Amino acid sequence: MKRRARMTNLSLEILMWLISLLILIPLAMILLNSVKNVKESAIMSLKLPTEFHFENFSQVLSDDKVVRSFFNSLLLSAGSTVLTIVLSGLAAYVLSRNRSKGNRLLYMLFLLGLVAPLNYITTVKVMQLLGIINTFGGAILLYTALFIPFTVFLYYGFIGSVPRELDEAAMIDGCRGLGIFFRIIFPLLKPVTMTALVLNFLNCWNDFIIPLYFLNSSRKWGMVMLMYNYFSRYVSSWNLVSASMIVNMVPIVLLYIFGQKYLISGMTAGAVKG
Amino acid sequence: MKPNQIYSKWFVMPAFLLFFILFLMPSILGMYTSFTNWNAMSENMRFIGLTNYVKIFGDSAILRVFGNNIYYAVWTSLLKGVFGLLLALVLNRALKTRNVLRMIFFLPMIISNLIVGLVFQQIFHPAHGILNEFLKLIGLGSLARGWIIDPGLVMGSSVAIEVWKAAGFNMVIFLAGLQSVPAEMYEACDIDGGNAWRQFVNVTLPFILPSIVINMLLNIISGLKVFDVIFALTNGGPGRSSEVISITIFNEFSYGNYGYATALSTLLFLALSLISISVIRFYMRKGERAME
Repeated sequence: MKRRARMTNLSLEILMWLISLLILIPLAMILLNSVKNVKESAIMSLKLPTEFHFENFSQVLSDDKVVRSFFNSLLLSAGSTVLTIVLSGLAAYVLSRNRSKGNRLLYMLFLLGLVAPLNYITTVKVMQLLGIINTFGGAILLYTALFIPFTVFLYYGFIGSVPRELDEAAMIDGCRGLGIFFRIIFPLLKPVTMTALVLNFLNCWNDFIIPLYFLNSSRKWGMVMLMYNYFSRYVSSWNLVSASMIVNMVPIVLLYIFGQKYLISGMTAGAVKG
Repeated sequence: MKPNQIYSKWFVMPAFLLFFILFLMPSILGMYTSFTNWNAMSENMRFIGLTNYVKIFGDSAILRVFGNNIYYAVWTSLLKGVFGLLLALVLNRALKTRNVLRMIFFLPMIISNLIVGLVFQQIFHPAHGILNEFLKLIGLGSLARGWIIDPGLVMGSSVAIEVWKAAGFNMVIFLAGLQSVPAEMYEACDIDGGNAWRQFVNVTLPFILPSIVINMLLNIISGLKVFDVIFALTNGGPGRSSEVISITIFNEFSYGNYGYATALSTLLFLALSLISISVIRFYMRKGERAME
Protein backbone atom coordinates (compact mmCIF):
# COMPACT_ATOMS: atom_id res chain seq x y z
CA MET A 1 0.00 0.00 0.00
CA LYS A 2 2.76 2.42 1.04
CA ARG A 3 4.82 1.36 -1.94
CA ARG A 4 1.96 2.09 -4.28
CA ALA A 5 1.52 5.58 -2.82
CA ARG A 6 5.22 6.24 -3.34
CA MET A 7 5.02 5.13 -6.95
CA THR A 8 1.98 7.34 -7.55
CA ASN A 9 3.79 10.31 -6.05
CA LEU A 10 6.88 9.69 -8.15
CA SER A 11 4.92 9.51 -11.40
CA LEU A 12 2.91 12.59 -10.43
CA GLU A 13 6.17 14.39 -9.74
CA ILE A 14 7.51 13.54 -13.19
CA LEU A 15 4.24 14.62 -14.76
CA MET A 16 4.36 17.94 -12.89
CA TRP A 17 7.88 18.65 -14.11
CA LEU A 18 6.75 17.98 -17.68
CA ILE A 19 3.85 20.39 -17.24
CA SER A 20 6.15 22.98 -15.67
CA LEU A 21 7.89 23.18 -19.05
CA LEU A 22 4.85 25.10 -20.26
CA ILE A 23 5.79 27.83 -17.80
CA LEU A 24 9.54 27.57 -18.20
CA ILE A 25 9.85 27.48 -22.00
CA PRO A 26 8.50 31.00 -22.68
CA LEU A 27 10.82 32.34 -20.00
CA ALA A 28 13.78 30.40 -21.39
CA MET A 29 12.97 31.88 -24.77
CA ILE A 30 13.45 35.41 -23.42
CA LEU A 31 16.77 34.40 -21.84
CA LEU A 32 18.06 32.73 -25.02
CA ASN A 33 17.11 35.60 -27.26
CA SER A 34 18.69 38.18 -25.00
CA VAL A 35 22.15 36.84 -25.90
CA LYS A 36 21.70 36.35 -29.64
CA ASN A 37 22.75 38.67 -32.41
CA VAL A 38 20.16 40.73 -34.28
CA LYS A 39 19.85 38.32 -37.18
CA GLU A 40 19.29 35.21 -35.08
CA SER A 41 16.84 36.94 -32.78
CA ALA A 42 14.74 38.34 -35.61
CA ILE A 43 12.65 35.22 -35.16
CA MET A 44 12.04 34.48 -31.52
CA SER A 45 12.73 30.79 -31.18
CA LEU A 46 14.21 28.21 -28.85
CA LYS A 47 17.27 27.60 -31.04
CA LEU A 48 20.52 27.97 -29.15
CA PRO A 49 22.56 31.01 -30.14
CA THR A 50 25.62 30.26 -32.29
CA GLU A 51 27.62 32.59 -30.08
CA PHE A 52 26.74 34.43 -26.89
CA HIS A 53 26.36 38.20 -27.15
CA PHE A 54 26.37 39.41 -23.58
CA GLU A 55 27.13 42.88 -24.91
CA ASN A 56 23.38 43.19 -25.59
CA PHE A 57 23.06 43.86 -21.89
CA SER A 58 25.80 46.45 -21.84
CA GLN A 59 24.21 48.09 -24.86
CA VAL A 60 20.83 48.23 -23.09
CA LEU A 61 22.34 49.38 -19.81
CA SER A 62 24.45 52.07 -21.48
CA ASP A 63 21.29 53.63 -22.89
CA ASP A 64 20.63 56.67 -20.70
CA LYS A 65 16.93 56.21 -21.18
CA VAL A 66 16.99 52.70 -19.73
CA VAL A 67 18.94 53.79 -16.67
CA ARG A 68 16.68 56.77 -16.15
CA SER A 69 13.49 54.73 -16.50
CA PHE A 70 14.88 52.11 -14.12
CA PHE A 71 15.29 54.78 -11.45
CA ASN A 72 11.91 56.30 -12.34
CA SER A 73 10.32 52.90 -11.66
CA LEU A 74 12.23 52.67 -8.40
CA LEU A 75 11.07 56.14 -7.35
CA LEU A 76 7.42 55.51 -8.24
CA SER A 77 7.34 52.06 -6.64
CA ALA A 78 9.19 52.98 -3.44
CA GLY A 79 7.33 56.28 -3.02
CA SER A 80 3.84 54.85 -3.46
CA THR A 81 4.63 51.75 -1.39
CA VAL A 82 5.86 53.72 1.63
CA LEU A 83 3.02 56.25 1.48
CA THR A 84 0.43 53.47 1.08
CA ILE A 85 1.78 51.57 4.10
CA VAL A 86 1.82 54.57 6.43
CA LEU A 87 -1.64 55.90 5.49
CA SER A 88 -3.34 52.48 5.29
CA GLY A 89 -1.89 51.16 8.55
CA LEU A 90 -3.05 54.20 10.45
CA ALA A 91 -6.52 54.16 8.88
CA ALA A 92 -7.00 50.42 9.42
CA TYR A 93 -5.92 50.77 13.07
CA VAL A 94 -8.70 53.25 13.80
CA LEU A 95 -11.29 51.46 11.66
CA SER A 96 -10.58 48.16 13.38
CA ARG A 97 -10.46 49.54 16.95
CA ASN A 98 -13.48 51.81 16.80
CA ARG A 99 -16.20 50.06 14.85
CA SER A 100 -18.74 52.85 14.93
CA LYS A 101 -21.42 53.07 12.25
CA GLY A 102 -19.51 55.77 10.37
CA ASN A 103 -16.29 53.79 10.44
CA ARG A 104 -18.00 50.66 9.18
CA LEU A 105 -19.32 52.67 6.25
CA LEU A 106 -15.83 53.98 5.46
CA TYR A 107 -14.47 50.43 5.59
CA MET A 108 -17.17 49.28 3.17
CA LEU A 109 -16.26 52.07 0.75
CA PHE A 110 -12.63 50.94 0.94
CA LEU A 111 -13.77 47.39 0.15
CA LEU A 112 -15.67 48.73 -2.86
CA GLY A 113 -12.35 50.13 -4.10
CA LEU A 114 -10.97 46.58 -3.88
CA VAL A 115 -13.13 45.56 -6.82
CA ALA A 116 -14.41 48.56 -8.76
CA PRO A 117 -12.33 49.84 -11.68
CA LEU A 118 -10.81 53.30 -11.76
CA ASN A 119 -12.48 55.75 -14.14
CA TYR A 120 -9.28 56.80 -15.87
CA ILE A 121 -10.74 59.62 -17.93
CA THR A 122 -12.35 61.61 -15.13
CA THR A 123 -9.29 60.91 -12.97
CA VAL A 124 -7.14 62.52 -15.66
CA LYS A 125 -9.45 65.55 -15.45
CA VAL A 126 -9.29 65.71 -11.64
CA MET A 127 -5.51 65.50 -11.72
CA GLN A 128 -5.35 68.24 -14.34
CA LEU A 129 -7.48 70.47 -12.11
CA LEU A 130 -5.20 69.75 -9.16
CA GLY A 131 -2.18 70.50 -11.33
CA ILE A 132 -0.55 67.13 -10.59
CA ILE A 133 -0.99 65.47 -13.98
CA ASN A 134 2.22 64.25 -15.59
CA THR A 135 4.26 64.65 -12.39
CA PHE A 136 6.00 62.03 -10.25
CA GLY A 137 4.17 63.34 -7.18
CA GLY A 138 0.81 62.99 -8.90
CA ALA A 139 1.58 59.47 -10.12
CA ILE A 140 2.71 58.43 -6.62
CA LEU A 141 -0.50 59.84 -5.10
CA LEU A 142 -2.60 58.02 -7.69
CA TYR A 143 -0.87 54.67 -7.14
CA THR A 144 -1.31 55.19 -3.41
CA ALA A 145 -5.04 55.85 -3.85
CA LEU A 146 -5.28 52.64 -5.87
CA PHE A 147 -3.32 50.52 -3.37
CA ILE A 148 -5.00 51.87 -0.22
CA PRO A 149 -8.14 49.65 -0.34
CA PHE A 150 -6.29 46.35 -0.41
CA THR A 151 -3.67 47.48 2.09
CA VAL A 152 -6.32 48.74 4.53
CA PHE A 153 -8.03 45.38 4.14
CA LEU A 154 -4.78 43.53 4.93
CA TYR A 155 -4.02 45.60 8.03
CA TYR A 156 -7.62 45.54 9.25
CA GLY A 157 -7.61 41.76 9.42
CA PHE A 158 -4.34 41.62 11.33
CA ILE A 159 -4.91 44.45 13.82
CA GLY A 160 -7.85 42.51 15.28
CA SER A 161 -5.30 40.05 16.69
CA VAL A 162 -3.21 42.74 18.41
CA PRO A 163 -4.50 43.08 22.00
CA ARG A 164 -6.28 46.31 22.84
CA GLU A 165 -4.62 46.32 26.27
CA LEU A 166 -1.41 47.43 24.55
CA ASP A 167 -3.08 50.72 23.56
CA GLU A 168 -4.18 51.31 27.13
CA ALA A 169 -0.77 50.38 28.58
CA ALA A 170 0.89 52.78 26.13
CA MET A 171 -1.46 55.55 27.23
CA ILE A 172 -0.70 54.99 30.91
CA ASP A 173 3.00 55.23 30.00
CA GLY A 174 2.28 58.64 28.54
CA CYS A 175 2.07 57.85 24.83
CA ARG A 176 -0.36 60.09 23.01
CA GLY A 177 -2.07 60.30 19.64
CA LEU A 178 0.04 59.08 16.76
CA GLY A 179 2.75 57.88 19.14
CA ILE A 180 0.62 54.94 20.28
CA PHE A 181 0.30 53.70 16.73
CA PHE A 182 3.75 54.39 15.38
CA ARG A 183 5.81 53.46 18.46
CA ILE A 184 3.81 50.58 19.91
CA ILE A 185 1.44 49.04 17.35
CA PHE A 186 3.14 49.56 13.98
CA PRO A 187 6.27 47.51 14.89
CA LEU A 188 3.98 44.60 15.79
CA LEU A 189 2.41 44.66 12.33
CA LYS A 190 5.68 43.79 10.61
CA PRO A 191 4.40 40.64 8.83
CA VAL A 192 1.58 42.59 7.15
CA THR A 193 3.87 45.51 6.43
CA MET A 194 6.26 43.16 4.63
CA THR A 195 3.37 41.69 2.65
CA ALA A 196 2.06 45.14 1.72
CA LEU A 197 5.56 46.19 0.75
CA VAL A 198 6.22 43.25 -1.58
CA LEU A 199 2.77 43.27 -3.16
CA ASN A 200 2.45 47.01 -3.76
CA PHE A 201 6.02 47.35 -5.00
CA LEU A 202 5.41 44.54 -7.46
CA ASN A 203 2.10 45.97 -8.70
CA CYS A 204 3.58 49.41 -9.19
CA TRP A 205 6.72 48.10 -10.90
CA ASN A 206 4.68 46.05 -13.38
CA ASP A 207 1.96 48.63 -13.99
CA PHE A 208 1.42 49.69 -17.55
CA ILE A 209 -1.93 51.49 -17.51
CA ILE A 210 -1.20 54.54 -15.33
CA PRO A 211 1.72 55.76 -17.46
CA LEU A 212 -0.37 55.14 -20.57
CA TYR A 213 -3.04 57.56 -19.34
CA PHE A 214 -1.15 59.83 -16.98
CA LEU A 215 2.52 60.21 -17.88
CA ASN A 216 2.89 61.66 -21.36
CA SER A 217 6.45 62.76 -20.96
CA SER A 218 8.84 59.96 -21.88
CA ARG A 219 11.39 61.33 -19.42
CA LYS A 220 9.10 60.22 -16.62
CA TRP A 221 8.40 56.72 -17.92
CA GLY A 222 9.22 53.66 -15.86
CA MET A 223 10.82 50.47 -17.15
CA VAL A 224 7.64 48.86 -18.47
CA MET A 225 6.71 51.84 -20.59
CA LEU A 226 10.23 52.12 -21.93
CA MET A 227 10.16 48.46 -22.84
CA TYR A 228 7.00 49.04 -24.85
CA ASN A 229 8.78 51.88 -26.60
CA TYR A 230 11.82 49.65 -27.23
CA PHE A 231 9.53 47.09 -28.74
CA SER A 232 8.05 49.55 -31.22
CA ARG A 233 11.42 51.11 -31.99
CA TYR A 234 13.50 47.92 -32.38
CA VAL A 235 10.67 45.85 -33.71
CA SER A 236 12.93 43.22 -35.22
CA SER A 237 15.76 43.46 -32.68
CA TRP A 238 14.33 40.94 -30.28
CA ASN A 239 17.74 40.54 -28.69
CA LEU A 240 17.63 44.10 -27.31
CA VAL A 241 13.96 43.85 -26.41
CA SER A 242 14.61 40.57 -24.59
CA ALA A 243 17.61 42.02 -22.77
CA SER A 244 15.50 44.95 -21.60
CA MET A 245 12.83 42.49 -20.43
CA ILE A 246 15.44 40.69 -18.33
CA VAL A 247 16.66 43.97 -16.83
CA ASN A 248 13.05 44.73 -15.94
CA MET A 249 12.44 41.31 -14.40
CA VAL A 250 15.59 41.02 -12.27
CA PRO A 251 14.36 43.21 -9.37
CA ILE A 252 10.94 41.56 -9.19
CA VAL A 253 12.34 38.03 -9.42
CA LEU A 254 14.70 38.86 -6.54
CA LEU A 255 11.76 40.32 -4.63
CA TYR A 256 9.81 37.12 -5.36
CA ILE A 257 12.59 34.82 -4.19
CA PHE A 258 13.22 36.70 -0.94
CA GLY A 259 9.67 37.80 -0.25
CA GLN A 260 7.77 34.76 -1.47
CA LYS A 261 6.37 33.97 1.97
CA TYR A 262 4.94 37.48 2.34
CA LEU A 263 3.67 37.63 -1.21
CA ILE A 264 1.72 34.38 -0.92
CA SER A 265 0.31 35.23 2.50
CA GLY A 266 -0.87 38.56 1.15
CA MET A 267 -2.53 37.06 -1.88
CA THR A 268 -4.34 34.43 0.15
CA ALA A 269 -5.21 36.82 3.00
CA GLY A 270 -8.87 36.77 3.80
CA ALA A 271 -9.57 34.43 0.93
CA VAL A 272 -9.49 31.28 3.02
CA LYS A 273 -8.46 32.09 6.56
CA GLY A 274 -10.86 33.29 9.23
CA MET B 1 -10.80 58.24 27.78
CA LYS B 2 -13.42 57.57 25.13
CA PRO B 3 -12.52 55.42 22.13
CA ASN B 4 -13.06 58.26 19.66
CA GLN B 5 -10.40 60.26 21.46
CA ILE B 6 -7.68 57.60 21.20
CA TYR B 7 -8.85 56.31 17.85
CA SER B 8 -9.32 59.70 16.27
CA LYS B 9 -11.18 59.76 12.97
CA TRP B 10 -8.55 62.19 11.74
CA PHE B 11 -6.17 59.25 11.42
CA VAL B 12 -8.49 57.70 8.82
CA MET B 13 -8.81 60.92 6.87
CA PRO B 14 -5.49 61.08 4.95
CA ALA B 15 -6.08 57.61 3.47
CA PHE B 16 -9.78 58.20 2.90
CA LEU B 17 -9.39 61.65 1.33
CA LEU B 18 -6.75 60.43 -1.09
CA PHE B 19 -8.90 57.43 -1.97
CA PHE B 20 -11.97 59.65 -2.28
CA ILE B 21 -10.41 62.38 -4.42
CA LEU B 22 -8.54 60.13 -6.84
CA PHE B 23 -10.86 57.12 -6.92
CA LEU B 24 -14.43 57.52 -5.69
CA MET B 25 -14.99 61.10 -6.82
CA PRO B 26 -13.82 60.44 -10.41
CA SER B 27 -16.21 57.48 -10.57
CA ILE B 28 -19.12 59.63 -9.40
CA LEU B 29 -18.03 62.41 -11.75
CA GLY B 30 -17.91 59.86 -14.56
CA MET B 31 -21.53 58.96 -13.93
CA TYR B 32 -22.40 62.61 -14.51
CA THR B 33 -20.21 63.08 -17.60
CA SER B 34 -21.68 59.93 -19.13
CA PHE B 35 -24.86 61.98 -19.68
CA THR B 36 -22.97 64.72 -21.53
CA ASN B 37 -21.32 65.22 -24.90
CA TRP B 38 -17.96 66.00 -23.24
CA ASN B 39 -15.24 65.73 -25.86
CA ALA B 40 -11.84 67.03 -26.85
CA MET B 41 -13.17 69.17 -29.73
CA SER B 42 -15.54 71.59 -28.06
CA GLU B 43 -15.21 73.76 -24.98
CA ASN B 44 -18.69 73.52 -23.57
CA MET B 45 -20.05 70.32 -22.13
CA ARG B 46 -23.73 69.77 -22.83
CA PHE B 47 -26.22 67.52 -21.08
CA ILE B 48 -27.51 65.02 -23.63
CA GLY B 49 -29.44 62.59 -21.43
CA LEU B 50 -29.19 58.92 -22.29
CA THR B 51 -27.78 59.49 -25.79
CA ASN B 52 -24.43 57.83 -25.01
CA TYR B 53 -26.12 54.79 -23.51
CA VAL B 54 -28.57 54.51 -26.38
CA LYS B 55 -25.60 54.65 -28.74
CA ILE B 56 -23.78 51.92 -26.81
CA PHE B 57 -26.68 49.49 -26.71
CA GLY B 58 -27.65 50.20 -30.31
CA ASP B 59 -24.15 49.50 -31.64
CA SER B 60 -23.69 45.86 -32.55
CA ALA B 61 -19.89 46.31 -32.62
CA ILE B 62 -19.93 47.38 -28.96
CA LEU B 63 -22.25 44.54 -28.05
CA ARG B 64 -19.70 42.18 -29.60
CA VAL B 65 -17.05 43.82 -27.41
CA PHE B 66 -19.23 43.06 -24.37
CA GLY B 67 -19.58 39.53 -25.67
CA ASN B 68 -15.79 39.17 -25.98
CA ASN B 69 -15.34 40.44 -22.46
CA ILE B 70 -17.93 38.07 -21.01
CA TYR B 71 -16.52 35.13 -22.98
CA TYR B 72 -13.08 35.98 -21.62
CA ALA B 73 -14.28 36.41 -18.03
CA VAL B 74 -16.28 33.17 -17.97
CA TRP B 75 -13.75 30.91 -19.68
CA THR B 76 -10.70 32.23 -17.83
CA SER B 77 -12.57 31.87 -14.53
CA LEU B 78 -13.53 28.26 -15.15
CA LEU B 79 -10.21 27.14 -16.61
CA LYS B 80 -8.05 28.95 -14.04
CA GLY B 81 -10.19 27.33 -11.36
CA VAL B 82 -9.99 23.81 -12.79
CA PHE B 83 -6.25 23.88 -13.51
CA GLY B 84 -5.54 25.67 -10.23
CA LEU B 85 -7.43 23.00 -8.32
CA LEU B 86 -5.69 20.12 -10.12
CA LEU B 87 -2.28 21.67 -9.45
CA ALA B 88 -3.19 22.25 -5.80
CA LEU B 89 -4.44 18.69 -5.27
CA VAL B 90 -1.24 17.22 -6.70
CA LEU B 91 1.14 19.68 -5.02
CA ASN B 92 -0.58 19.13 -1.67
CA ARG B 93 0.78 15.56 -1.70
CA ALA B 94 4.14 14.63 -0.25
CA LEU B 95 6.17 15.21 -3.42
CA LYS B 96 9.89 15.75 -2.91
CA THR B 97 10.16 18.87 -5.05
CA ARG B 98 6.72 20.30 -4.37
CA ASN B 99 8.01 23.63 -3.07
CA VAL B 100 10.05 24.27 -6.22
CA LEU B 101 7.11 23.22 -8.37
CA ARG B 102 4.73 25.52 -6.51
CA MET B 103 7.19 28.36 -7.01
CA ILE B 104 7.43 27.69 -10.76
CA PHE B 105 3.67 27.51 -11.27
CA PHE B 106 3.19 30.79 -9.43
CA LEU B 107 6.06 32.53 -11.26
CA PRO B 108 4.03 33.95 -14.22
CA MET B 109 1.92 35.95 -11.75
CA ILE B 110 4.81 38.28 -10.99
CA ILE B 111 5.78 39.02 -14.58
CA SER B 112 4.62 42.25 -16.16
CA ASN B 113 1.54 41.76 -18.36
CA LEU B 114 3.28 43.70 -21.10
CA ILE B 115 6.10 41.14 -21.26
CA VAL B 116 3.59 38.29 -21.21
CA GLY B 117 1.63 39.85 -24.08
CA LEU B 118 4.68 40.54 -26.22
CA VAL B 119 6.25 37.12 -25.67
CA PHE B 120 3.04 35.26 -26.50
CA GLN B 121 2.66 37.38 -29.60
CA GLN B 122 5.89 35.69 -30.74
CA ILE B 123 4.93 32.22 -29.50
CA PHE B 124 1.61 32.39 -31.39
CA HIS B 125 3.21 33.93 -34.50
CA PRO B 126 1.56 32.18 -37.48
CA ALA B 127 4.69 31.87 -39.62
CA HIS B 128 7.50 31.14 -37.18
CA GLY B 129 6.02 31.02 -33.67
CA ILE B 130 7.26 28.12 -31.56
CA LEU B 131 3.75 26.75 -31.05
CA ASN B 132 3.20 26.06 -34.74
CA GLU B 133 6.83 24.94 -35.13
CA PHE B 134 6.30 22.45 -32.31
CA LEU B 135 3.09 21.11 -33.85
CA LYS B 136 4.89 20.56 -37.16
CA LEU B 137 7.79 18.88 -35.35
CA ILE B 138 5.56 16.25 -33.75
CA GLY B 139 3.72 15.66 -37.02
CA LEU B 140 0.59 17.62 -36.14
CA GLY B 141 1.32 20.36 -38.63
CA SER B 142 -2.29 20.23 -39.75
CA LEU B 143 -3.26 21.69 -36.36
CA ALA B 144 -1.08 24.77 -36.87
CA ARG B 145 -3.30 27.84 -36.86
CA GLY B 146 -3.15 31.61 -37.02
CA TRP B 147 -3.70 31.73 -33.28
CA ILE B 148 -3.85 35.49 -32.97
CA ILE B 149 -4.59 36.53 -36.55
CA ASP B 150 -7.65 34.34 -37.00
CA PRO B 151 -10.68 36.30 -35.69
CA GLY B 152 -12.29 33.03 -34.61
CA LEU B 153 -9.33 31.94 -32.48
CA VAL B 154 -7.90 35.10 -31.01
CA MET B 155 -10.18 35.23 -27.95
CA GLY B 156 -9.42 31.59 -27.21
CA SER B 157 -5.70 32.31 -27.41
CA SER B 158 -6.12 35.27 -25.04
CA VAL B 159 -7.93 33.01 -22.60
CA ALA B 160 -5.09 30.48 -22.82
CA ILE B 161 -2.54 33.16 -21.92
CA GLU B 162 -4.50 34.24 -18.86
CA VAL B 163 -4.81 30.62 -17.74
CA TRP B 164 -1.03 30.24 -18.22
CA LYS B 165 -0.48 33.33 -16.13
CA ALA B 166 -2.95 32.96 -13.29
CA ALA B 167 -3.75 29.26 -12.75
CA GLY B 168 -0.91 29.41 -10.19
CA PHE B 169 -2.75 32.11 -8.27
CA ASN B 170 -5.85 29.90 -8.02
CA MET B 171 -3.55 27.05 -6.98
CA VAL B 172 -2.13 29.07 -4.09
CA ILE B 173 -5.61 29.90 -2.79
CA PHE B 174 -6.72 26.28 -3.11
CA LEU B 175 -3.55 25.10 -1.34
CA ALA B 176 -4.36 27.40 1.57
CA GLY B 177 -7.92 26.04 1.57
CA LEU B 178 -6.72 22.44 1.54
CA GLN B 179 -4.82 23.05 4.79
CA SER B 180 -8.19 23.37 6.51
CA VAL B 181 -9.14 19.75 5.75
CA PRO B 182 -8.42 17.70 8.91
CA ALA B 183 -6.21 14.66 8.16
CA GLU B 184 -8.49 12.42 10.29
CA MET B 185 -11.24 12.99 7.77
CA TYR B 186 -9.19 11.31 5.06
CA GLU B 187 -8.35 8.42 7.36
CA ALA B 188 -12.00 7.96 8.26
CA CYS B 189 -12.85 7.91 4.58
CA ASP B 190 -10.06 5.39 3.91
CA ILE B 191 -11.43 3.06 6.59
CA ASP B 192 -14.89 3.34 5.08
CA GLY B 193 -13.29 2.18 1.83
CA GLY B 194 -14.02 5.33 -0.14
CA ASN B 195 -12.18 5.70 -3.43
CA ALA B 196 -10.28 8.83 -4.44
CA TRP B 197 -13.26 10.42 -6.18
CA ARG B 198 -15.66 9.78 -3.27
CA GLN B 199 -13.02 11.12 -0.91
CA PHE B 200 -12.74 14.28 -2.99
CA VAL B 201 -16.49 14.84 -3.19
CA ASN B 202 -17.34 13.95 0.41
CA VAL B 203 -14.32 15.23 2.31
CA THR B 204 -12.28 17.75 0.32
CA LEU B 205 -14.98 19.61 -1.55
CA PRO B 206 -17.02 20.83 1.46
CA PHE B 207 -13.87 22.21 3.09
CA ILE B 208 -12.60 24.07 0.03
CA LEU B 209 -15.97 25.53 -0.92
CA PRO B 210 -14.98 29.02 0.39
CA SER B 211 -11.79 28.89 -1.74
CA ILE B 212 -13.84 28.01 -4.80
CA VAL B 213 -16.20 30.92 -4.16
CA ILE B 214 -13.44 33.49 -3.66
CA ASN B 215 -11.39 32.20 -6.62
CA MET B 216 -14.39 32.47 -8.93
CA LEU B 217 -15.25 35.97 -7.67
CA LEU B 218 -11.66 37.22 -8.08
CA ASN B 219 -11.38 35.52 -11.50
CA ILE B 220 -14.58 37.12 -12.79
CA ILE B 221 -13.48 40.52 -11.53
CA SER B 222 -10.04 40.37 -13.16
CA GLY B 223 -11.61 38.90 -16.30
CA LEU B 224 -14.00 41.84 -16.66
CA LYS B 225 -11.21 44.35 -16.01
CA VAL B 226 -8.73 42.81 -18.47
CA PHE B 227 -6.70 45.31 -20.45
CA ASP B 228 -2.94 45.11 -20.71
CA VAL B 229 -2.27 41.54 -21.86
CA ILE B 230 -4.68 41.88 -24.77
CA PHE B 231 -3.51 45.44 -25.45
CA ALA B 232 0.06 44.18 -25.85
CA LEU B 233 -0.94 40.98 -27.67
CA THR B 234 -3.28 42.28 -30.39
CA ASN B 235 -4.51 45.72 -29.31
CA GLY B 236 -8.00 44.35 -29.90
CA GLY B 237 -7.33 43.06 -33.40
CA PRO B 238 -7.55 41.65 -35.97
CA GLY B 239 -10.28 44.18 -36.70
CA ARG B 240 -12.11 44.38 -33.41
CA SER B 241 -12.27 40.64 -32.84
CA SER B 242 -10.37 40.64 -29.53
CA GLU B 243 -11.48 44.03 -28.28
CA VAL B 244 -12.62 44.19 -24.65
CA ILE B 245 -14.32 47.06 -22.80
CA SER B 246 -11.16 48.54 -21.27
CA ILE B 247 -9.53 48.69 -24.71
CA THR B 248 -12.60 50.45 -26.17
CA ILE B 249 -12.48 52.94 -23.29
CA PHE B 250 -8.81 53.64 -23.97
CA ASN B 251 -9.41 54.06 -27.72
CA GLU B 252 -12.38 56.38 -27.20
CA PHE B 253 -10.23 58.35 -24.75
CA SER B 254 -7.58 58.71 -27.45
CA TYR B 255 -10.18 59.89 -29.96
CA GLY B 256 -11.35 62.47 -27.41
CA ASN B 257 -14.87 61.05 -26.99
CA TYR B 258 -14.79 61.54 -23.23
CA GLY B 259 -18.52 61.52 -22.52
CA TYR B 260 -19.04 58.30 -24.45
CA ALA B 261 -15.97 56.68 -22.86
CA THR B 262 -17.13 57.57 -19.35
CA ALA B 263 -20.51 55.96 -20.14
CA LEU B 264 -18.64 52.73 -20.86
CA SER B 265 -16.56 53.18 -17.69
CA THR B 266 -19.72 53.70 -15.70
CA LEU B 267 -21.26 50.48 -17.03
CA LEU B 268 -18.11 48.59 -16.08
CA PHE B 269 -18.12 50.27 -12.66
CA LEU B 270 -21.74 49.28 -12.04
CA ALA B 271 -21.20 45.68 -13.15
CA LEU B 272 -18.18 45.30 -10.90
CA SER B 273 -19.85 47.08 -7.99
CA LEU B 274 -22.68 44.55 -8.11
CA ILE B 275 -20.12 41.77 -7.91
CA SER B 276 -18.25 43.58 -5.17
CA ILE B 277 -21.35 43.49 -2.97
CA SER B 278 -21.00 39.72 -2.83
CA VAL B 279 -17.27 40.08 -2.15
CA ILE B 280 -17.95 42.51 0.69
CA ARG B 281 -20.58 40.15 2.11
CA PHE B 282 -18.06 37.32 1.94
CA TYR B 283 -15.37 39.26 3.79
CA MET B 284 -17.71 40.88 6.30
CA ARG B 285 -19.18 37.50 7.26
CA LYS B 286 -15.66 36.19 7.71
CA GLY B 287 -14.74 39.20 9.81
CA GLU B 288 -17.76 38.61 12.02
CA ARG B 289 -16.84 34.96 12.47
CA ALA B 290 -13.23 35.86 13.27
CA MET B 291 -14.47 38.25 15.96
CA GLU B 292 -16.43 35.55 17.78
